[in-house]
Amino acid sequence: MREELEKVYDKYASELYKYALMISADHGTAEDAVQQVFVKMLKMGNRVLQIESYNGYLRRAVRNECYEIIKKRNLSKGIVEKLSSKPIIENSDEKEANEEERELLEGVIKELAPEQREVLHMKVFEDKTLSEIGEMTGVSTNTAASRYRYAMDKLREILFLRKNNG
Amino acid sequence: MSNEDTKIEDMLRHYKLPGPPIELKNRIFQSKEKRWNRTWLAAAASILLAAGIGLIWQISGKQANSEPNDNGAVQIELAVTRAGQASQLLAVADFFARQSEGQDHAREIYHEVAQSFPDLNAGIQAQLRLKTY
Repeated sequence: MREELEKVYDKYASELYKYALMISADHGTAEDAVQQVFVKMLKMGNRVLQIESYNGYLRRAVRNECYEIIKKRNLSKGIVEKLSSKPIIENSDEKEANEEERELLEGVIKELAPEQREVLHMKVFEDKTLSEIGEMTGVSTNTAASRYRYAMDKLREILFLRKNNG
Repeated sequence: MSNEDTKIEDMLRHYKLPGPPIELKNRIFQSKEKRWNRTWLAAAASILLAAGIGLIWQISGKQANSEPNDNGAVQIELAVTRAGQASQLLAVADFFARQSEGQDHAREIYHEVAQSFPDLNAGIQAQLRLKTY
């Protein structure tokens, strides 16, 4: 069972981690969420075989774990502040490094609510439609759209300010 | 969707999200030791370190208050307590060092042991372990 789950990890961990990272905007939370989900699956033993779709199951589980951790950590912020603050977005290899822009975008992303970051991630990095996002996150298409709208407005506002000041 | 939205999306797509650290898989699948959530690890390290420092102060206070003419039993008691405390803190640091997320906490405690007990074996051991970081 361990070997089977290792294969599942190899296949899905990267996407799950990125998803968790965008929801939480914190590497520690993303690591803990992914770790907790796989540790729980290891404890399930053969019952893991009853899972119909690993992808759907893992996404839901990581999402729930993330929001659970965020909720808990808001109550003990002092501890969370001790955690590392590695960047959550990186320059891609083909793009000329623009650290100022990266920091600006990361700053705006971190200011968004987890639900808004989640929608932004699914729309921009996973190419999902707002209807799909609504379905996957258990909200109406309108709610998904308004979360996306808020995130884009915030990004536009900051980028517009920079353009005017620069 | 407006043109501006498309531009912002394109700008974001020029960036990528980092994947999980390599050690995460090992932590999940290879470690037989009890896995510690990093939040709990940080909390435990803070509490243990605070308790350890409190005891160091207590021992230092007793040493400062002891008269030079105090009998040998008092001095021996203080020396034994101090050595025991140093060994305990060293063991705690070793525990954190074995956790994949505990390296920073281990280093902090080794540092405290090395500084507070430079004359004891535990202090020397802590200094040696610090050199491996």
